[in-house]
Amino acid sequence: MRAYLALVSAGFRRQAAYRLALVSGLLTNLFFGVVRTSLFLALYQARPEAAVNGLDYQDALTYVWMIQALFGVIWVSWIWEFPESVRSGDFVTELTRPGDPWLRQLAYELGRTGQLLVFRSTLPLLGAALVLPLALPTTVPGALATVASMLLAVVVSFEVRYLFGLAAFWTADFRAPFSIAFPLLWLVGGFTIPVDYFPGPVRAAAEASPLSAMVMAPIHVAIGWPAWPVLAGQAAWVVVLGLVSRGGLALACRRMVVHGG
Amino acid sequence: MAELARPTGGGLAVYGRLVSAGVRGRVYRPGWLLVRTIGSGLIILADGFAVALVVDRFGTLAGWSAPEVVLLVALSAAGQGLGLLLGDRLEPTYFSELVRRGTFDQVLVRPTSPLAWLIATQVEARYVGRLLAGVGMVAWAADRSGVVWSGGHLLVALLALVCCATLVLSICVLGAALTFATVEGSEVVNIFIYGGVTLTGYPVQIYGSVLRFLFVWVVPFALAVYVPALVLLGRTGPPGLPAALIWVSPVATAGFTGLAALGWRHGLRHYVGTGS
Amino acid sequence: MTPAVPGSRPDPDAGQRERARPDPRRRGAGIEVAGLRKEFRTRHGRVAAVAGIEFRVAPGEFVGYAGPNGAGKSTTVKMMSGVLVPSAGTVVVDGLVPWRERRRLARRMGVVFGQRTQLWWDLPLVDSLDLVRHLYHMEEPTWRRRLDELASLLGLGPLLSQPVRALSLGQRMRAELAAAVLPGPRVLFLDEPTIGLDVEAKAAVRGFLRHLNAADGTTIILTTHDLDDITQLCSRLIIIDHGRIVYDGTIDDLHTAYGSTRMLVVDLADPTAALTTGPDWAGAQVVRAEGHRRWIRFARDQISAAQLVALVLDRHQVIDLSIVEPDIEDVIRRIYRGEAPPATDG
Repeated sequence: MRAYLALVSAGFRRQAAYRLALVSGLLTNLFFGVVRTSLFLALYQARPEAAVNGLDYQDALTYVWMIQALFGVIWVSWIWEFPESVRSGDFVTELTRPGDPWLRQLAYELGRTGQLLVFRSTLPLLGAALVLPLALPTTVPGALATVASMLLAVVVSFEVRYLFGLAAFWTADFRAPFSIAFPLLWLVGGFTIPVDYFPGPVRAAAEASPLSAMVMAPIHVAIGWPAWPVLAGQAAWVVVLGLVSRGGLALACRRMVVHGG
Repeated sequence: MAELARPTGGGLAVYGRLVSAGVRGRVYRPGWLLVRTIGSGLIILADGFAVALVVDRFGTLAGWSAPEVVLLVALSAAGQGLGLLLGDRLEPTYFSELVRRGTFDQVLVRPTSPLAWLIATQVEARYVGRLLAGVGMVAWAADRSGVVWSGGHLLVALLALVCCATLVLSICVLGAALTFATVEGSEVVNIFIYGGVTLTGYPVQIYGSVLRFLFVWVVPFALAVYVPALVLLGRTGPPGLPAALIWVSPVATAGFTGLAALGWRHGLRHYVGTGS
Repeated sequence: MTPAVPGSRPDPDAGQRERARPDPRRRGAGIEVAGLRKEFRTRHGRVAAVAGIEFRVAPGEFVGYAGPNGAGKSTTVKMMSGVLVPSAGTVVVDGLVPWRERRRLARRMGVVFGQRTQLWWDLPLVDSLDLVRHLYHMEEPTWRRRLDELASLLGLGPLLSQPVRALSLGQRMRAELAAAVLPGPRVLFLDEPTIGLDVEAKAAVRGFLRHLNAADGTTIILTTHDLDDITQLCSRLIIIDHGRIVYDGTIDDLHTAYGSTRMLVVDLADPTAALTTGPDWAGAQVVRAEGHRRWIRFARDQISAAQLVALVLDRHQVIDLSIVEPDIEDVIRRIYRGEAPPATDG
């Protein structure tokens, strides 16, 4: 157990070393946040009190800044490290070590994303909250639920990325499946516009998918949806995708052994 | 033995060959390239779709209808695609690696302009997807917003595309030049390449005065895309940014490009002087 | 013209002949370096990578350029090729100031980096060479003639249609050389061209370079750690350390001047036998003893290997023996430690 905690802290420290990257990350967040805030302010300008598809303009602004907060931790900059290490053969050493490689990677990842969450994500979010009328939770349970939801979202995103990374065991072109899938994930996940705006059936499908657990869930919790159902849904996806990704790893390893690496 | 290498002549044809060699080198895995090209295009289409959906739900964005906004998104995306086709590998992450490994020194001992060499040999073919998707979206949006494709309008659309692409490429060059001085600090140019293009996808009047000034007169994306769109749509444009400014667009773009060229020259001199 | 393909045994005397004063009518470039300095600003203040060096290379010379890592070799080469601007001093290569007329010089210069490639990785070799033709604006017939010549010299025939990534390291180095000399440069800068190559590949590369220098008169500056490269190819050796030239002359003069020692390593039948040297051993000393093995250091100008071996065999039963030649690194280390500069014409 202590080994995993050590990994978390190692991951945290590793991300902390990139100072200038943090600054440029913050500036990027700020920039996109401002642009999209302008967009939604202009959209709601005609009818500021209206709720479009259940989102009023405070919800929309909250969405903008929470997406910025989540973006860097969902689609992390080190997304290709795992499949690259598989392709180069470095990953084999991971398999020879005692313990659980999947859990180890998760621990390290939590450390890294944790650092990003604390420094790169929350600062712009809180800054925006001071200036704009965001619909962030004002109670402690609400805040805790939001944080918990964000953490669950991070774990789900780890598992989704892990699944894409497993492609490296089967092909050298491991970026291909992701490259094709990403536009869909991008859209249906809600990175450009909230899923809430989608027409009925599409919205239902999106919300039933793990993408929702990864992106919109923490936002919904933040703007005030009942937390427990959302969190439960996320937890369910954590378990399901966890089993699938671990199963995928086991399958990949067996294949490696059979084919001689 | 007489001089085998002739001292002058040839010029642009050489760069054409370098481009062809660079692209051919990557096409030996055509399936992969095709996939990434399609993916690149799909992202643009997804963005366009999302924007159309959102503006449609609200009816209008600062007086612009959904197809009109998509026109903006499409023009800027197509321009970005063309610009990144040439300049993607000048981005700080790639370029700093090039310098660090000493590959840039190798470029310097070639009898060519180092910048032209870098651009020509590192064409990123997959951005053709973005370019094509953008052009397709322009066609769709123009059709839905009643744009008449007269000769003049075609030229204007082409102008928008070329100016936007030139701006993106110039920013990439500036990023590479900055990399000589500071590697991590140069990442800031990505904010302009990606953020700037996103910003240009929406009508400029929705932004505060600071952003507006920055993107009209400093990094003139609005002049490159928004103003031509005004002309295409037959709109007069907001006060301070009328459609008549279309004549300023190419000038401003050229001005910015000149700045980027100066920046590169300065950065190169700095590198050669200090060995970085 | 003698083909220099792998398999042909290099003629040990050929180097000797080629070391004669180069013919001024040849096409090679001359290099003049005077008062050259290069300082870098680092965390620890201003560091002089090159602290005032001076030399002249006559057209057609084959110069070895050696020194420990960080001595300033690559910095000097970069200043000679126009990649760096000196802090002080002058460099003139083939009548041009490199950093001022970089592109003009580039047309007359060839550079080969041992670790990096200038070829197009995924394209057939011949495509890379064709690109060289266009880059240097060579006429097609000239190019073709030159290509055929180089292909036969370097044994590139079957390799031309293969992508560069499919070539072995030795094959690739031959290809790099072909690409670099195809436009007929007047000066060639080589940075560790034989690193990582097997014996046969090294012989091929060396044979080709020897030929290039002899037949075409190309001035060659060879930066290397490999002593054999230098002894077999170079008429002259420049050693640089801490940014200064510490030696400029021939190899033999170097060893003689610094009294380089060789080592005779013998394995005795009897591990307890005491191998002692006497006055008739001309200064040879046993410097180390471990089990069966004895290390005897001796100076080349005082006693020959054959004489020493005879002395040992005379007194002891020997299972095996070998001779370790002095290392250039060894001499350099000694030079750095402040040992006396070489005596003139030893």
